[in-house]
Amino acid sequence: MMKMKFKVSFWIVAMLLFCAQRNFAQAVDTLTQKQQSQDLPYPWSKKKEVALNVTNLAKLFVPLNFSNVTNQDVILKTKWYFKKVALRIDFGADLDLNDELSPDGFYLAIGYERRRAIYKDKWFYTTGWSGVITGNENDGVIGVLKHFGMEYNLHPSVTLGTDTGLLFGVFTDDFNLKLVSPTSLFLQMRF
Amino acid sequence: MNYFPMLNQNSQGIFFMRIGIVLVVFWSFYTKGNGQSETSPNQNKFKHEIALNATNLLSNLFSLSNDNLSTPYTFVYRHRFTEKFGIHFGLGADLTREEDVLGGSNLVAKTVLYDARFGIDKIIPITNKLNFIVGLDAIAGNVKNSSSSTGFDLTTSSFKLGGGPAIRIQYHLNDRVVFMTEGLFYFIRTKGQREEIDPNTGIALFTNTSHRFTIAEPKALFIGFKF
Repeated sequence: MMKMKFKVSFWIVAMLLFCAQRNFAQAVDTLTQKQQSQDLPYPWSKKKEVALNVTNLAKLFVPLNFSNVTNQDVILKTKWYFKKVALRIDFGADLDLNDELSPDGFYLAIGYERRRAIYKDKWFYTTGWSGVITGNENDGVIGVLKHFGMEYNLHPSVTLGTDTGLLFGVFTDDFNLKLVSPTSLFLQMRF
Repeated sequence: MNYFPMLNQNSQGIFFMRIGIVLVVFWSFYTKGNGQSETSPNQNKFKHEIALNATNLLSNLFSLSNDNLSTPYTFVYRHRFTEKFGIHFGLGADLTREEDVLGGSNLVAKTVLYDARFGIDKIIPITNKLNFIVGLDAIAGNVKNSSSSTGFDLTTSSFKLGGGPAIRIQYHLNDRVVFMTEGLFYFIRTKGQREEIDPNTGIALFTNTSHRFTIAEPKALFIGFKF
């Protein structure tokens, strides 16, 4: 029974996503047209981007997904694209500001990013370097992150993406290296 | 006819209802995709919008997940003064009373909770259907839990006040129906109080104040109606 329900639910969600994507693709976007008329190397050149972490929200709508809601380090990403390179800031915080500052979670990364197309105008990958300060009440990290991202264009101004990276730096006391696995889904808007 | 013998009649009914509702949404997306309403010239003509938190409803339709993310604001009213500027007001409340009889003693527990917020919105159109809204919110809320049992009373209450920037994403399903979610960047000051009344030791009162800065990811999906 569960298997059958899963199949039906899966196909319904797949159809919805397909139609939403098709709908986005067909929409007449005057903003994008305006941008394309300028002489810039990429559609995202001289644009601002804001991405929100939608991992836990998306989890609620995936059929038969029993994985728990997880704490997310990065909630907000902002990117300011110049012609080819972007200044990128990733941020997340949950701070108790009483007698002494005790972060339940803090993440700040500042760096640069480049984006390249992988397949047509739909799939892109991003890469770059960032300086990272992150921590919680147990441990903290100051280091450098080489990040890689994968993005799918739902629309010229809307993308879904995820990130991974190689973080090396001082982990509380020791110098260490960590591969950050991709666990978050970001909905990103460009304007 | 019993199409799914492994399901009982009641479960089948609920299952088919879910499929039906999802197919209606599917049809709505499909007709949009066929170009019946590529642009939305009427989208901006409605100045009022009422939105309800539909996270649990949609989660139940699409998924069997038991996770429950929550935002305290169940009801949101948004007023648009111009194409790019508006205000909104949100409200949430919860009142519960439970009474248990354990071994001859009466245990009564009450919860009174309300949350309100007010904010201004700057609306940035991303596409014809998608808006990016940057806002500044002010919030206030109060929660009071009280329980009493055979002479022993315990009351905890807290009042919070704060505010900060907010980022919202709004998708127009059609001219009148919108989906919205939000990320919040709030600084919150909470003043808590705990009062114990013990027939043996008398009254004890404890207070504490906390300050917290929190960035909340999108936790809720709102369905809004414009008029």
